[in-house]
Amino acid sequence: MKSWLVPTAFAIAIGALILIGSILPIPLLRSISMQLLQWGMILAGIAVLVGIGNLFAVHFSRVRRRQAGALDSLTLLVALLATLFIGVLGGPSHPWMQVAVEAIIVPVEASLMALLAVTLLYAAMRLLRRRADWMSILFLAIVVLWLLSSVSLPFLGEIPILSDWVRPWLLFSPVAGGLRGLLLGVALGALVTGLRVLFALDRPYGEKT
Amino acid sequence: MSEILCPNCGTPNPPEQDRCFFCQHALHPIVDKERVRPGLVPTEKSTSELEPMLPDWLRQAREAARSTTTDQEEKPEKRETPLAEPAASSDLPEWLAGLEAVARDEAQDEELPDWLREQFSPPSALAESPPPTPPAFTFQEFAPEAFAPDELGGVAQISAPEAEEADLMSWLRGPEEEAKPLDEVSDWLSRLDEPSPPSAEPPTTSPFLEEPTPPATGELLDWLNQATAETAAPQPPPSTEETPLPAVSPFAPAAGTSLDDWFAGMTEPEAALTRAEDRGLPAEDTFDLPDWLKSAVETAAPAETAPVSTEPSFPLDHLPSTGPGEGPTLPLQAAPPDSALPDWLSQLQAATAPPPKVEPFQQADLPDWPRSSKPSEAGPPPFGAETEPAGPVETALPEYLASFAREEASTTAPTPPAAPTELPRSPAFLAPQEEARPAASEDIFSLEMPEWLSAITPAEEPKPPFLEDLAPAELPSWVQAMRPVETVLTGAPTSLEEDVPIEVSGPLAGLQGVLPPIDVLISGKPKPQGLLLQASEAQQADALLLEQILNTEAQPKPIRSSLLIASQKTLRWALATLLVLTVLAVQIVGFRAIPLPVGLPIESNRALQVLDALPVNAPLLMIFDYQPALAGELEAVAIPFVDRLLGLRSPNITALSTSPTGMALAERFLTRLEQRYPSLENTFIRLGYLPGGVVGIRTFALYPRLALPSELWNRPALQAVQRFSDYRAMILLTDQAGLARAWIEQTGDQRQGNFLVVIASTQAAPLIQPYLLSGQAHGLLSGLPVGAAFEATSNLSSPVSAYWNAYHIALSLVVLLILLGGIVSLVARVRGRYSPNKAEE
Repeated sequence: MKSWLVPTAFAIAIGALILIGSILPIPLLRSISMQLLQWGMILAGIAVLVGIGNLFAVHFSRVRRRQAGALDSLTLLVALLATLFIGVLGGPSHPWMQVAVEAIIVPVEASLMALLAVTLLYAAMRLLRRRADWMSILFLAIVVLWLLSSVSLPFLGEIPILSDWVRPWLLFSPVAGGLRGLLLGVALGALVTGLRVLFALDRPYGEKT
Repeated sequence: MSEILCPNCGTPNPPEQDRCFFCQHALHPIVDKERVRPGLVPTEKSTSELEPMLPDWLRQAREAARSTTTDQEEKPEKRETPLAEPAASSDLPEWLAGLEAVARDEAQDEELPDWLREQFSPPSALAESPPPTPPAFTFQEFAPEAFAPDELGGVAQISAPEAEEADLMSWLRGPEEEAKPLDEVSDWLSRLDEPSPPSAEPPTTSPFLEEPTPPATGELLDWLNQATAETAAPQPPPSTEETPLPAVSPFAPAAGTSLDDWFAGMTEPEAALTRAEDRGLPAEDTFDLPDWLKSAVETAAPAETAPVSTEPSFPLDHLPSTGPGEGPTLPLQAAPPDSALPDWLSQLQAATAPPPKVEPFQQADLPDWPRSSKPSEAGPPPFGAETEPAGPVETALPEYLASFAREEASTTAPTPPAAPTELPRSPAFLAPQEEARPAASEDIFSLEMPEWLSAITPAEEPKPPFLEDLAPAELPSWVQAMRPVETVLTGAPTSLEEDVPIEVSGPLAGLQGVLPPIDVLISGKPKPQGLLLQASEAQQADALLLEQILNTEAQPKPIRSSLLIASQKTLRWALATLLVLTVLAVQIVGFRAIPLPVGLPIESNRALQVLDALPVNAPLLMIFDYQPALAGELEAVAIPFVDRLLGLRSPNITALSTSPTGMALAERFLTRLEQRYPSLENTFIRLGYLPGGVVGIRTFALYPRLALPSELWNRPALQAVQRFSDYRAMILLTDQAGLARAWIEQTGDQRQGNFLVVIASTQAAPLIQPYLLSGQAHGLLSGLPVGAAFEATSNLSSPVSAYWNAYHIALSLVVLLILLGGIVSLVARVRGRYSPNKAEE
């Protein structure tokens, strides 16, 4: 007996049950569906804990072996344990947790986002040097046009034509159309993926297809 | 038979012996005759065809030897030289000295049969000896195997006088005897096998004959010996005694391997005609003669010799061949003493004895071989021709016979030869041009010539036609080993022309014609060939290009990547510094030159409608699913909106997040609002973290209380919420389009027409725009201008006013830098096309 048969059978059965329970208003199916969804949430929460435990084990091993970057690992472990300790005991509303968020988490991540802004600016400036084709020029022109339509000049405010005509046209015509197509594609892809899993064409449960 | 007769000497040997007791000859036939093994006695074969292969000096020596023998015949005193120390031995080359010794030893030890010794007995002794019982000199059959050595060997014991009458063969006896059946001959031959009755006195006077009667050797020489004895028998004793036997021995043609010539001489036209006439045959009886014989009869002068009777040919394999092309079988005649002898013998007989009675001869009695034989013009003189100078007997004799003869002559009375001049020349060594060769070059090679050299006849000697059909002679093993190359190389012309080069170096120095005169080997160095390639211009250009490429690859290139990296870092640092300094400068200076927007964007105006539609104290679900990095952007937009919502509708807010940091950010968010709305402590319920992603969202949409079971659900703010649809509005704060899509899609059927306002970052707003346009979302707030617009319409203190100026100044700078950088990059790109090195920079 093949090893992939049992997990695939479970996957097909649960998927079909959830699907039928979502379509047909059958109380039994709904209760089963509800129970399965709860199990799923529990498993996802435990998976987060497992992930945290794996992260802790890896860095703890690195600190114990005194490998390269052991100091960073030690810092991570200290911050992890401290946050965990504060979060478990005081919760998110604990003042120390708020200090951690306000003084550490938000500024650090905001700084990284600021670096992203600088990097994007640098890339835009050197785009035509790396790739001077019409697509790059068009892309760069759209970016500049979008920024100009969004910017407010000192003492002048928004640029009249750009902010009144160009920006709304860009937002609701080409951008909305493109994103709708993208969302439709994503939806179709999710549907096909679900069907393939239900028909056991894809078995992402421990064995390669 | 219990005894095995030696095929060489005929001596009976015990069957268990492998070699003859007397001659050490192999009694059993050698199966593998082709293989040459060490110690094997080479079989005597016809080697006369090797005559052309001989070098000039050797041939000249042989010719001189023949001339010498002729002179020796004329000077019989020279034969008195002791055999043991021939005079020529001192003058022989070193390499021939061995041959001489070997030949002498062989002549004394092996090759000289006993019967021959008997024949070499003094004629006086032969004459005094009583004639033995005449044997029946017949042949049983003509097959080669029929001529057993012992049969012919017995002939040697026949005394000459009796043989005169008894051993005449049918073809010698005349027509009347020719009619006798062949059975008588067989009977006669059969009686030969019987031991002849011992005579009271041995018919020999030779010291060799004092020994016991030797067995029959089986060689054909016996027959000839007998014939000679028969010839010598009728001679008067006095004359026979005076004649030295070796000088007149009829063995010359046999031992000298010139038997065919001898026979050819016998079948000379004139001789045949003379014999026929002597026998009383009419001229018409020559109808059986061949054409050449007939023509010879017509032109030749009558001879005095007796007619010759011939016998059918029989094999002479054991005899040395006499000329090139002669087969193993040669016709041999059994002539009567007075008629069958060669001319030289007849002359000898004429000088010593009266002519015997001659039987009538008929041409029809001639066997086939003389009929088919063709006399050569350059051949020996006709049989019995007196005009021809008689060659010495020793010329044709092998060395062992010659030496023996000399020894015999030395032991017998020095009777001057009666007819040495009458002896015929050895036809095997005679050539027309050789006859005229002067005798001045005579030297020691006359007597010490090896047998195989003596047997070689010139190539110019005509080949009898009856021999053409015969198979080529088999070379002896040692001759085969020394066979020249030209006989091996097929197609190589074998010419004896004078232009054939003489080897001047190496082991073949002095030899001519040994190597084929063909260009098998190219002497000298080969011509130098030019190694220059014939390359065209295109090929040379390609080769030059390839060479340049290879040289370019070999040249090191300066590494410029470090400069490029430094330049990029500098530019990055410059850009970052410029932006930071710009923002800081605006914040520090407090630049307020940019006016706030008056109205909301189009997509944000619907959010205001939601605020207006919400009932007071309505349960409201607020989801904080954004990252701390974008907390500033989202808070700048959401705080003015929530501030207005709290101020207008005082909703009961239930907060949750699918992100672990979401609730911490929610606390940060509420911190900003709690100062103005202290009631939020009771109306703001923090459900916390919703695990499971999409599954959790779906579960919460289906069963809010089961998805996040908590005692918070018992609070008064949440008592009205049992299902997801109980929330009158859902405010989603997210910076990710995926999360916005999940919440919109997973809760769409459970909201049941309730409002959904999405407060998204600028990067996620475009992806949420389609849901807004499709009606699945009822309001979308994104970007700093929305927050500024709400701030402008309210008196809330929000961070928007602090960001607004710096944001737009920095954004304007960014646009300017992009434009500037794009232009510079484009120009650099264009310049790079003309300068590859700068393009790399």
